Amino acid sequence: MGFEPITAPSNLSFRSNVVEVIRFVNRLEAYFVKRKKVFINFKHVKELDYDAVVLLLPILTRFKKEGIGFDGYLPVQPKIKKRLKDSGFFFSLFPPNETNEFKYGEENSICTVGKTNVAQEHTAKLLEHASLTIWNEHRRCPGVQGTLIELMQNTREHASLEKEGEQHWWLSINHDKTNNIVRFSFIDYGVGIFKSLDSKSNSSTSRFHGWRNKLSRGVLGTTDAELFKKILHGGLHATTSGEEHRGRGLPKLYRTLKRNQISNLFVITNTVYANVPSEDFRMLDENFSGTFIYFELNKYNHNLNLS
Amino acid sequence: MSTFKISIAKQFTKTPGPRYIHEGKFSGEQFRLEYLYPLFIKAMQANQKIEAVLDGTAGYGTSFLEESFGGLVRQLVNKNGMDVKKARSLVNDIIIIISEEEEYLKDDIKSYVMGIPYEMVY
Repeated sequence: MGFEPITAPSNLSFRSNVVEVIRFVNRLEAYFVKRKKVFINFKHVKELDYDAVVLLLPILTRFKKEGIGFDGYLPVQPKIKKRLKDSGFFFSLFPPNETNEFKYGEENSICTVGKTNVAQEHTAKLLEHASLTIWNEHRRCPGVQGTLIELMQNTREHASLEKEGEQHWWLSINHDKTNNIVRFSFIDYGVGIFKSLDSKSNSSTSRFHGWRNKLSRGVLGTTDAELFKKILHGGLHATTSGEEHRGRGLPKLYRTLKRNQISNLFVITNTVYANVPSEDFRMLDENFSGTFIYFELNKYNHNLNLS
Repeated sequence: MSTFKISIAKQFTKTPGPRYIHEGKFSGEQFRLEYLYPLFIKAMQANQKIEAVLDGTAGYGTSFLEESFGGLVRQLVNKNGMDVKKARSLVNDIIIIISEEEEYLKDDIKSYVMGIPYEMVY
């Protein structure tokens, strides 16, 4: 049986070309579901961001694990080809040691994959390494560490509708030594925040029952983008009752940004696109089945001496 | 009056982790069961305070702190049969949070202990 051809968007950046990249990912996903081999054409890719790389890795890893063939052309442009190779994409897809989940110490960038547990010792090491790129010395960044723990924890609790802890999370950390910035892209291919909340609202005994109506205060036509803004600001936690100790993750992420512990926070989940510092909350034409979170750490962000 | 002291970084771990023990190493649940709760009972019986030092770690997820301190209130209510208002008030009164590196964690923990929604604190 032959390979199904699929062409990557020429701008393979999730944040700047979100809808086209989702369409591309969804097509790959559809082929995976049909167990069809794919031939991916990256030849004409002119822009490539690490956020797209970390988006593709989980899908292609699933192809590999299921024994479904995939192949493709590399980008023609040398700079883009190099970026793809340097991203850790191939290392993560074909690791020399299958048990090696974490890789430290790379000069340019690294990709890491986490399995089911919260791996705070690994993220602490990754952050120490990141601090060298930013401040030229080992520093602690408790805001980022807390954020990463929160994201890993959320993946365990919320990403899968089937069973807690089933979905994997993926984290890409890109070191930009020229600008002293480290970029974090976190992805979980669960169902996305809105689908997860909707699934929990079906039961009348759930604390999320009627969450949309409560959060929108009954205003018809409130979009998911508007609801997401309210969730970030702590509105969901305030309007749902019972289990008050849960559901503080997204507001915490927002406050981490406000406290200058991270910069440039983006969230893409289901049909919502949020460029948080710019207050740009938009609806998308395509559904992204999962949650993507991007943020940066730069020399102006809060940091501490190693204790 | 002397005060009990507990430093998470020095006595438990520099890399606190998730909420529950089954979710990974150095969880809030483990800290509460093995360190905080026994010390709290001791302090309560001796009519003493506890200084809980948060400084020196790599950083905290919300879940760890909530399960440690908010979880202590739930443990006193569910396991010890204490009235919820009394449990909140005792934990708030006995435990003094020391957090010079991240001062806002004091307010976070207060909200977990007292059951106050975020928007009331910030």
